[in-house]
Amino acid sequence: MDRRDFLKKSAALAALSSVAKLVPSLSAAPAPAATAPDAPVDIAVVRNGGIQEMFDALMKTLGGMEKFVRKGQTVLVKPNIAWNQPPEMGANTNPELVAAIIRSCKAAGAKEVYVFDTTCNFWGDTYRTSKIAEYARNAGAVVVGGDSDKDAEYLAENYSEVTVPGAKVLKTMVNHNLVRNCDVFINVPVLKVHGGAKLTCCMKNLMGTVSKKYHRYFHSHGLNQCIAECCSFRKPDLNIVDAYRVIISRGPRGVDQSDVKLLRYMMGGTDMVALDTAGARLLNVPLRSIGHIAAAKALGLGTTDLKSLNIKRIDLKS
Amino acid sequence: MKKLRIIRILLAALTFAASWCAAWFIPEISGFFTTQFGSSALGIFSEISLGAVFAVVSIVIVTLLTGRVYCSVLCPLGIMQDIMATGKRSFRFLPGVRPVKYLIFIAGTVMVAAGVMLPWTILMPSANFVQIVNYGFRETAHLAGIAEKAPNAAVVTMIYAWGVFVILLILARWKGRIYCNTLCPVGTVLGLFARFALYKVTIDKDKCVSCGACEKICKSSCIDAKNKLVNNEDCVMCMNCLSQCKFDALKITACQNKEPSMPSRREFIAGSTAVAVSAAAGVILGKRPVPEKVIMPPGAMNFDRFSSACIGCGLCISACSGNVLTPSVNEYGLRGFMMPHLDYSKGECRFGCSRCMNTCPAGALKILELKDKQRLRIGLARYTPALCVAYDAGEDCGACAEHCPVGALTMVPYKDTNIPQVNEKLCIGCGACQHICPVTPVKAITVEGTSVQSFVEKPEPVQAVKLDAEEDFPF
Repeated sequence: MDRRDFLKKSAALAALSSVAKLVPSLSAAPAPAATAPDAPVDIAVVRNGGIQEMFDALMKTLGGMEKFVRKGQTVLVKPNIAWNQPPEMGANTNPELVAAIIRSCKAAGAKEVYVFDTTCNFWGDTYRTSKIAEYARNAGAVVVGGDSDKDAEYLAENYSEVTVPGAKVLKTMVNHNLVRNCDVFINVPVLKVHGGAKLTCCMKNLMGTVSKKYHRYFHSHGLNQCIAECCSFRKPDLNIVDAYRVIISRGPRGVDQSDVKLLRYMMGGTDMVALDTAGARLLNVPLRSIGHIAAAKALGLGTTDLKSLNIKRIDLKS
Repeated sequence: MKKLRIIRILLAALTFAASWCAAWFIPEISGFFTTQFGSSALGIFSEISLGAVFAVVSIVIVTLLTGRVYCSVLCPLGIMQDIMATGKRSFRFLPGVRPVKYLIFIAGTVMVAAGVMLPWTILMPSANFVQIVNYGFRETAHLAGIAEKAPNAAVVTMIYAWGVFVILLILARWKGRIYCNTLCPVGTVLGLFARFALYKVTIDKDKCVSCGACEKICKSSCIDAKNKLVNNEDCVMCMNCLSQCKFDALKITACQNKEPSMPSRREFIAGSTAVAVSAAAGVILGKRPVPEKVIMPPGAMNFDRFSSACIGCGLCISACSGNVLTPSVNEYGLRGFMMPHLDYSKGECRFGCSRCMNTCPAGALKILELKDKQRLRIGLARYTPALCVAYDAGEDCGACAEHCPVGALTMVPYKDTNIPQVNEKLCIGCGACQHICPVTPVKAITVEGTSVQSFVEKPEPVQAVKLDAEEDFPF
């Protein structure tokens, strides 16, 4: 390199860097706190597509299922199957989404995918009416029974008492063995308004890992604190929020079609608190009314400051 | 002729197995009890169904053709008594049962007509059978750790069922089918038809030597070997006797009817007295106040209708998917003994279930479409704020409102939290709220029964709300 070359290259570099300095200030204007373009995505949110279409776009944005599930691992997919309501009522997770997740886990090399929920109505009914059992089985998952209210034998075999580290109220709880034994834990809530907890999203959905007898304990010992502490036991490796059909009144069960809105959203990420905050925004539920989000934030489970996160928004219509 | 007996035994074995499973409630064959004459005949008076009419008419036709074969091949309690009496060969002809059984039947009928089902609750064979299977055998097997628990059986029902079983065992070992020929209302009615049966067991008087071999094996005690006569009204067509006769004198043949004998004056007086006494008893028992707070199963509609049709067999209890139907001891008073009521401490009346009304063989529960059953009020939720964790301790609970399937419970602001409010226009009294309420031992929300079941209003659709997210990403 001679002197002339050196000068040319220096000039070019100087020009480039001055342009590069301009670029972020231009692109970051609408989202002030956005991080570098190749920084990991904290929340991906997709709208206006079919279930499979939105799921594919979501996973692509989050880095693919291979990022979460490695070959030979066991996966627990925890949808909401609480109510004896058909898919069109939006009271349970969309069965197509559950199937899509299972197929995706299998494709990523998962050894076994388990599906279960501790249900509010009798699990034999809810698993069937929600169509989740059928879709999950067809997708190749092992569907595990979930009601633990009456069947003492099932309860003894599949649930155990665990201590919740650092908990103030929910010092011990009885939860499903799969929560501890699976390699990968995928939480698949359906977004709904909720009479007691105000919002059902990632965190409220995890109450379904706990035995039904403990649900009463939750309700009588400070529901919101218990939900937050329950979520601190094992944080899901991935949360996928089904907001395709959402219940916007008389939740979490819904009474008739007037309670349901076809919103066609899907969100994904690892931060339950952030996703629940985003879910509250989707349903116009005031954040301050949702006690378990505040409690979880206080426990350090995640952030409610969506502005600090790298959120990827994908509108499939445009 | 021997073949007929073998066929009878095979059919009986089949029936026994099927009825045992149906009583235990295996949903696929829960309809078996429609074949039972007593409950189906009563059903025609309360909730007429094609199945019941078909069963009753065909059983009557079969009886008019071939006598009381029903009692040998379709009645599970009859078959149970045959099993109990196996091997006994020392029966004797029993004259004079006719007045006894008519008196019992008339007295029972009069009381039932007055609206008190108690006599048939105690004497109906299908009811006794289901009670013995569930409250007796199943509950005992559960206590021994080899079977699941009978639905809501209690010590009282267990003692009662075993009591009936032991009495039947003693009667069967003592005098064979004496229950069927004196106490059983179905046996009495079918006996009347069997009298005119086309084919029946007869004795060829020329061949018979009155050796008594047939009489000894006749568990119905209906063969009078000395006088070479068969009382076809009591004969259950078991055909045990046919192969016993060394002289080939016993046959099943088409033969002329005997002249039906008129009752004697003594029988007439006794009969009239029975009618008067039982009518009085029926009226007195029937006049008791209607129980207000007990929760009747859906489809009972009102207490009078329900209590005059239910025979307390407990099939609905066996079928109840919510595990709430419970046999009554004194909840409805004496006349409601064994009738089912709902106990929400054990569960809730499941919103998507209508098994009880579809299982009832006696038509005591009106069969409603599921969507109508879901609007039928069987009780009303009552909220006691003083007990509630939301009102009392300021907890965010809301479990009751969360579980209400009809939107009758809403959470309304109270101090720093929300408390439930019952909309009485919508509440159906399913007990979902009471069952889930975390307050113990007395729940903050409880359901009270209603003596008349009525349909509630349809819930108002919620006003459509526009969400920001519908326009664009809200964050």
